[in-house]
Amino acid sequence: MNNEKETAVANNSDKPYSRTTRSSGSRRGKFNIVDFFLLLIVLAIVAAVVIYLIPGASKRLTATDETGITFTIEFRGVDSAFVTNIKNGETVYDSNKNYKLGNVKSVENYAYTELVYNEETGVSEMKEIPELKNLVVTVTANAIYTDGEGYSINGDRIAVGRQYNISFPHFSGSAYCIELSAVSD
Amino acid sequence: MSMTQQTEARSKRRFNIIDVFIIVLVLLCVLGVYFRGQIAEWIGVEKKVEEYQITFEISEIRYTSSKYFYTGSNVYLDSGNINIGTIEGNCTVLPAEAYVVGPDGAPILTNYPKDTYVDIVGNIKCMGIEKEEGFYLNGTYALAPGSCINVHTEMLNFSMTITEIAKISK
Repeated sequence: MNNEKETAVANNSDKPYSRTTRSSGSRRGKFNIVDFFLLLIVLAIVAAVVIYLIPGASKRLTATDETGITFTIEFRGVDSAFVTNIKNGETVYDSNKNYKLGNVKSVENYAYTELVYNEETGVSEMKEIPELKNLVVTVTANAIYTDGEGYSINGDRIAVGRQYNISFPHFSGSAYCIELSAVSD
Repeated sequence: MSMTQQTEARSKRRFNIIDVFIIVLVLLCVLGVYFRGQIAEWIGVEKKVEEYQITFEISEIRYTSSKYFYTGSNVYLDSGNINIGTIEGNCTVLPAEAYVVGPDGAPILTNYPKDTYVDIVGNIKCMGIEKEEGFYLNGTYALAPGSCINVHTEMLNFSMTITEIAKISK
């Protein structure tokens, strides 16, 4: 029996490209259970490192609250002909991603002014440009509140000072958020 | 399949010393990343972070935005959402400065009237390290006076210019 084994080994060593050598070579490339466990461990470690190192990654996994908010956006220097194009109750859309932001609660318009030098008085003052208006639109919406991050709608942050591309059924433009508050129950 | 082939195949599938070595290596790499701060300290590469005060200035911001600067608010960098620190004390609100074209065409420095635009000056308390190359926020993010950065708090987005970074003496 032992002699048979020795003969087989000896035969294999004599033929380096024999069937046995080829099949053990192909087995070497096979994906086995140990590789699978190694892969799982590496993936778990990568996930842990990502959560630990990327700021806010763990926060994204935590629960958040949906709440009612009102925010006010200002369109500056709008042609006077458009001031009646936005109506109360109309739907407000983000025109970049085309999703609903909320509904119009109120619309106001006031004079558009620019800082200019008055030669008569010798001081600078805000001069009205009669052809243009500032449109101030207050919007009611449902937003997700995350502690430390603030409010977001459809994943986009809602914050004072941010610029948004907004569209209504009969008007579209770029506006800055100038006021933001949570709706108290 | 011969007996030799079967034995060979079994030994290939078995969990061996190389696998243990790889797992230990991966675990060590992860521990190295996790404790990178402490390791850097042990080998004397990195100093401990200390408390610093960043003085900032915001120019020409709408006057209504000034009410969103709360003491104790966390301030984050827009890029990477890195926490810079917290707003310390009350921010100073001043009429915004701007240049207008004078009668001779030369620029004249003037101020915006009340209830239009304002400039804000304030302080942020943060943690950082002073290295040879300059100040590093939390030991990793380089900041220097003169840099203009986009930041946000929970309610507000703004751009600020850093005017001073000073160590808080205890």
